[in-house]
Amino acid sequence: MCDEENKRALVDVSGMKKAVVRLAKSLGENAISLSDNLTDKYADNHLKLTSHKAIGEFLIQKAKSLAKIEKKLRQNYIDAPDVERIRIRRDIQEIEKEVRQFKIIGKAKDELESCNETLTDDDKEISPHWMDKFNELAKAHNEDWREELLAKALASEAKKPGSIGPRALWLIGTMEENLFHAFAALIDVCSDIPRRIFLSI
Amino acid sequence: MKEKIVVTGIDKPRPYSHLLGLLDDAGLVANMSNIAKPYFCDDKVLTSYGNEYAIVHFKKDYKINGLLLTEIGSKIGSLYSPRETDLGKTIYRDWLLSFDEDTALIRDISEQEKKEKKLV
Repeated sequence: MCDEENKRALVDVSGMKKAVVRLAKSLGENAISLSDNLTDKYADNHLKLTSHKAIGEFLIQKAKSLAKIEKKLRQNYIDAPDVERIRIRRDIQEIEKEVRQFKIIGKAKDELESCNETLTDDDKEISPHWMDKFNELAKAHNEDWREELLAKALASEAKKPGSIGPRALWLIGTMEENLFHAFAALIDVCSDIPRRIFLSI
Repeated sequence: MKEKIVVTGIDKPRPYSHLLGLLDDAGLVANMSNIAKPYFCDDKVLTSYGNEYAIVHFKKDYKINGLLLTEIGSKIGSLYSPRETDLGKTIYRDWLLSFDEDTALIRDISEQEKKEKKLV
């Protein structure tokens, strides 16, 4: 490889590294060691595959652990007194929320994994406010299309923080089914010139 | 043309003009009145619909009329993977055919160019 290509490859590696680490951070405090580990792996030049695999494994482990806790809680629920039952029910609901959140983060990982773009190497981080809003929305009951949009929004933010503003995120999380289908139908017939435009002819 | 757009997955069929109203209210599309996007003489623009591409080389100043997505609409739209539809193809092809030689030259893109521009 010539110097120019080497430089470009390094920027690619660095840009993708940061995107993956940002995604790992979205998994919360439990994943801090994971994001540190990913930074080391990138330093070792293990690049994309290892890192995505590490996040995938983390999510699988986390899902297994949550399923185990939920099973135990459900067993305890049967013998628990009324007051204790309320607490257990709340705990189960919290677990279900986390499962929904991790499912969307898993989809975001897949999205990032299939990314062939050249990512810019900057030190910007996803804003905590954006991340809080995302987590709140991702934990809710969501339709398939909304899950897809949320996952892609997270992947886009991981690639380029600030690319999907909080207002767009909020709209994704709150738009009604009718609005989404109307929007999708419009986009389906839009031409790229070069921005998407619905031509009136 | 707008009334021909089929919206699937909604509770009951509604006229598209009504749905456009929803999109406008939500701030996803720019003002409902037609918007003109200006191009200038000698501008060369890569245009596409689905897998069909063409370069439009304007021979004089020109305004494209249509409905534009707002910034927030563009952001959300960029997260959605559009499906190719016959209507979308027809609209795009008819638009390309609508140019006379004095207004713009239309050139298809070769397979080689598609590869170079990473369109495939």
